[in-house]
Amino acid sequence: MLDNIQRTLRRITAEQVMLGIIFVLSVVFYLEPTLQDYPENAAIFPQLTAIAVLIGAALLLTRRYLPGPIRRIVTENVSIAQQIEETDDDAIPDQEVVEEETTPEDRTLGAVYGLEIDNTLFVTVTATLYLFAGWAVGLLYVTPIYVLGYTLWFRVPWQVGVGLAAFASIIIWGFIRFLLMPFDQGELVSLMVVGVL
Amino acid sequence: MSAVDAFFQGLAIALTPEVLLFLTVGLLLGIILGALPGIGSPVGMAIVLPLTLPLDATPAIVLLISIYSGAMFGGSISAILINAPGTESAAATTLDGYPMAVRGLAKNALGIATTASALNGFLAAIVLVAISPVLITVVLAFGSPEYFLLAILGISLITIVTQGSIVKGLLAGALGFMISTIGVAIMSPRPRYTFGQLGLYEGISFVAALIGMFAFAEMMKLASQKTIADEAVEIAGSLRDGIMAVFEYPKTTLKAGLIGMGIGMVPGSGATTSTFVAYAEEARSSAKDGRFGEGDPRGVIAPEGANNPTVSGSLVPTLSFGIPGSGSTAVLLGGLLMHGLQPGPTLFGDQLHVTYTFFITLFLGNILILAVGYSIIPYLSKITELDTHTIIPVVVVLSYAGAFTLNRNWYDAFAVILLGILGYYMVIYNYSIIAFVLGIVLGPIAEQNFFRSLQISGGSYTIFVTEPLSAILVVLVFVVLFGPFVKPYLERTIDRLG
Repeated sequence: MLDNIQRTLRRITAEQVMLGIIFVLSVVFYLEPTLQDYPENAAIFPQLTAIAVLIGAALLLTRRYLPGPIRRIVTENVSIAQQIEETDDDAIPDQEVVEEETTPEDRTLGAVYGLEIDNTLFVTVTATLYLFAGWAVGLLYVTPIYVLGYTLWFRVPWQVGVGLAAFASIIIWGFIRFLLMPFDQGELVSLMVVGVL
Repeated sequence: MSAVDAFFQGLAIALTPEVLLFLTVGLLLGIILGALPGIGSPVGMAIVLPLTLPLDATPAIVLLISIYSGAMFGGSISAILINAPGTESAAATTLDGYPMAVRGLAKNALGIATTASALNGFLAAIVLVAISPVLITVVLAFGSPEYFLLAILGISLITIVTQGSIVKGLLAGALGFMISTIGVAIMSPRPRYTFGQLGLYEGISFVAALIGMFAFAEMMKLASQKTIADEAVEIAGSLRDGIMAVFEYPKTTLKAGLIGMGIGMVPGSGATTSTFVAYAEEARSSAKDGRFGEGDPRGVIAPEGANNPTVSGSLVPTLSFGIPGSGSTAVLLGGLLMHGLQPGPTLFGDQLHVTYTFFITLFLGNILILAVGYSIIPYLSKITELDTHTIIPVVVVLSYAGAFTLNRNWYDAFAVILLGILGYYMVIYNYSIIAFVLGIVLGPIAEQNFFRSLQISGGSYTIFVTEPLSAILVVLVFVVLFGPFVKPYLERTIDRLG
């Protein structure tokens, strides 16, 4: 039983997860105007678009089980100029199969110490943490740490890393100085100060 | 104001030191960004877009257009020197540009790229000014139902031109429309989908969406690539011979320009399509004596001669109907709206001089590309030697700071991450991110025109088919969406009858 669930979960692709989220979102977008009594002129357009999204996501999620002609419309790549092309639903996208050979110089700092993390995942997670930290304590203070940490991880020469950290900090300072953005203040810190006072 | 008065007023604005400065800065920035594989014009323009907030509308848009134009040329640098196109539109240039460089003719190929791109861009800008009176007439014939239907047609066309699944393309566009409805409603003061969060009252900024979809998603993709500088070739050959080659094949050059401009004008198609069509057409028409794929100069003239005219051509649907043809023009459209310039009748009526300023700066920009391009050719390989991991953190920092600056709203900065991740997976699974972005950018305009149409008709949906122009647009949407499926059946029927 547990094995079956694990096998099913392993077969779920990132695309199905994405479509699932979009499907749920479209349901929320359709129901919310009705549940919250939106006036008609505020409800029609989002509800119409939500229906379109809902149908599209449902068709794509269930494409393997659709009857032939409908499946053809849903899955096949078309172009005005070219004939309809057959597509393979099970094909793994190019980006996922491309594996480049890594030389010792290409290895990340983590890999050197036996911690292999996918580069895209690393960029996404660190960029997210950087934004949360920037929101909490101020972008000005976390920017040099983020840039230095990033360049260190990818083993960019330290002089370049320091230069980039300084450059990025100057950019943030420029936003504070010339566009009057409060990047030297953190939202969380402000909330805590208000709480203490 | 007559068109002639507007032209001279536009010329006067284009020649002001401020505009010329932004034109030069934009071109240089565009050339550098375009030369960096994985960056290209949409990413560069998306990052710069929020930084134009303190500027007036005209210099801001001039800056964006010149980045776009410069990146078209810049993309060919890395295509020729390292076989990695800086922009998608330069992919066709690699076919013969890189073989030329390998044969010790890198300077020739770069000379051809600079000359063909700038010369045809220059000619296309003149054509653009010449045809603008016709455009004005066409644009003024459109009303609310037509503008709503144009948004639908634009998304449909993008779906078809990008050659993906129709359902995926339409889903992407509809999702963009749906996300654009977050925030206070357009036709009433009712907040929608804000769930009590004040920060969502203004909705998700379309500029933040552009940054997320183009810049952040591209950085996620770029992270998996290593530096490509080790494949670079030596810059050898003769620049003069390269320049002369363009004039040795005048027919190839002009044909490429016409293809570029024509395809650029079709909503939904961009320079990636036009350069490959121009290359394929040249390979077909010169099949007898051509050595395409082995370093034939015509294989560089054709795509390079098509790329910059596509910029001019793509301004037609972008400025007249608000339908961008590519990622770059989607960002440009975002810039227009952000600076309060409404594509459509206004830009071809009261603000015609502003439109002419854009056309004239394109014209001037192409002269500058020649001057800048020729002088930096010996140093070009340096640009392509940048490590991708030195670019990514700086782009991330700029993306967040830029997105927050739009409305001083952290939700916009967080939207960059969420939409960036969505964009990354959409690209992997072949969903059109341009259709999605177009949905977000055009959502409010489409909704407004949708409601105006219903108000005019007293709530009847027949207004979308009763007027001749709107009926034609509805037919076009159906032809675009169902034509590819019906075509084989029609052909078979005709064969049987014939």
